Amino acid sequence: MEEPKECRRSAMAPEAPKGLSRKEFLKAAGLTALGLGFVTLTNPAKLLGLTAKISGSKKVRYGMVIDLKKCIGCNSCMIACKQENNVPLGFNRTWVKDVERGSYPAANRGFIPILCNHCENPICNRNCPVQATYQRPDGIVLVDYDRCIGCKYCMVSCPYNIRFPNPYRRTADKCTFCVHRVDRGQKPVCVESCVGKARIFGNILNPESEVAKIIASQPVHVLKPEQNTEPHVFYLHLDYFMLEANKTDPKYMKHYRRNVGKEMGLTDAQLSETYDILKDKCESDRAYNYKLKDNINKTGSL
Amino acid sequence: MDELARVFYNAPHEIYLEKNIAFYFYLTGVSAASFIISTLAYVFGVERFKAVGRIGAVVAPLVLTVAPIFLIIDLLQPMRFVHLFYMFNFRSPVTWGTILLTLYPINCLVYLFFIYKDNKAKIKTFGSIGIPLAIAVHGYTGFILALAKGIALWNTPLMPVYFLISAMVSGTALLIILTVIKEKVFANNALVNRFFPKVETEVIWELGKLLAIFIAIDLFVAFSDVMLLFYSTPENQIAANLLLAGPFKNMFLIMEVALGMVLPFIVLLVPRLNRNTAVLTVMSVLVLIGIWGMRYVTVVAGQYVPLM
Repeated sequence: MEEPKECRRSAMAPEAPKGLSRKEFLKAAGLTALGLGFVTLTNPAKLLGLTAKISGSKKVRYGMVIDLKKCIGCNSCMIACKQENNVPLGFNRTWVKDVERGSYPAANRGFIPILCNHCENPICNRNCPVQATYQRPDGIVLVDYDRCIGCKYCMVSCPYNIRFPNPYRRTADKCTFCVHRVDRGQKPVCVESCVGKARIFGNILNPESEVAKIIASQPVHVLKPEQNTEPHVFYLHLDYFMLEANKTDPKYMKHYRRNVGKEMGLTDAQLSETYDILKDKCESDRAYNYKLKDNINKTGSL
Repeated sequence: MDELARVFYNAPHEIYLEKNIAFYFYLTGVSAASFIISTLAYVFGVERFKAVGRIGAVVAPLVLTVAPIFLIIDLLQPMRFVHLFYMFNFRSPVTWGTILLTLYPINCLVYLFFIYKDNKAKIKTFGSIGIPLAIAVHGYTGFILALAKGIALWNTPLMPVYFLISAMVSGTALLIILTVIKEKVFANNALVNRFFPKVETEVIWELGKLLAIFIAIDLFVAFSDVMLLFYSTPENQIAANLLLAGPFKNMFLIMEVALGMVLPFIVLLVPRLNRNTAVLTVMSVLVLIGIWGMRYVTVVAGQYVPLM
């Protein structure tokens, strides 16, 4: 935007008024062009994200509804996603968290699948220094893997901890709503693989779609609405404990397992082993991943 | 909620920004503070600080040339750092950093050049330009953390202030140590003495007083920060618990607060001890270690609790 203006200004330079010296005029012209360029480039309102959203002009806005009463915690979405998107070992684009509450006979176990919320106002997009994270007009937030430098700022900016460093691609990576499938008219693979049909995907601006009908007629909730990110993954039957459990420190997980396990009659050793094996497995998966990557780099093959 | 609900994660959680980033924050802080102290003499005309100001003027660009290296090696693809120079996003504090980290060292070098040439007018000009730049080059790192708004420990308006004041503390401490080393070890070295004139012992004591003032403000800001964490949302309370009772309690309470701030502050108030160069040096070392603790705790403790 800046350059054409400057060109025009300098083209006008020979017609400088006689009162000004050539040097003075060029200086003034240059400054004006720079100033105008700066203002257009960095529109203050746009800069701060204060511009009003024109939702009327949009035809398509993808979103997802997850009915937590239908989720049985089988993790098939997580596995299907890993297969479809080639997600490296030790990382997930979507996962399912278990929340247990109460004790026999008054007890319950709930599951909450987590994935990228494809926010209308994504913080990851705002904080990306090279504009590698972008939002398509249909609302899907994507990473441009050729631009991404891997500064990891988006990973700490995301209030949902969705992003991760992909050790093979060496960039940030995240859920794409299976954009390659969506563009061909298919549903994301987590939706297709869901055995309880808990995940429903569609265009929320089309009043005929199932997603739009649910959002319009049933009590839905989003994760962390206070972050003002306008998430577009809506949860049906989301209850307080699901949210409250988000704030639990995982380091105390061992403690929880112990309490539960003791009631079940398990020994301390068994319990800690279960926990540690799980933890070590995750860590060794990651170490293996990076080792594999280095080997490929060195030898050129697996 | 401990008794009512238990959560089981089947997804591992990772801490993304670690020592490299904390050390980068540490270095920019030291650089900015050294520059500001050097302008005390060359811009604000406090003549007795001139000798110390020269050391500050050398430390500032030196440290700031090293600092971005830690940022670059922390990238997943270090060679792509060039993208930062032609792909801008003016809403991202990292882009502000690209601009500031380019302008500030250049300004520092020009400032140092004119100190070497002893050109008073030019020193004053570039010194004056440098003060806001120095504040910005460290203040923006506070915004990097503060604008990651999902993280309770970081997302506070106090963060840039906390960063700036701890920068002043660490910068002053480093200058005291360097001045003492110069006076004790290189007192008769002709090469050193050609550029760095003798620093009076009284000036070192005065730097000690300055350090005490900065520590007092830093203590106040740290106290306000933790105090507000306690009386805010549940996430904030968890963050406060991490610092005061959780895995970071030793680093925060002992390394940063007790040894890094309270002890040096008390010692610097004792009339005889604050005129003892050896004691001052030891306290400065403690302060430097303490501020490293602050940087590390702030960066790592923020990411410690999984957000989802």
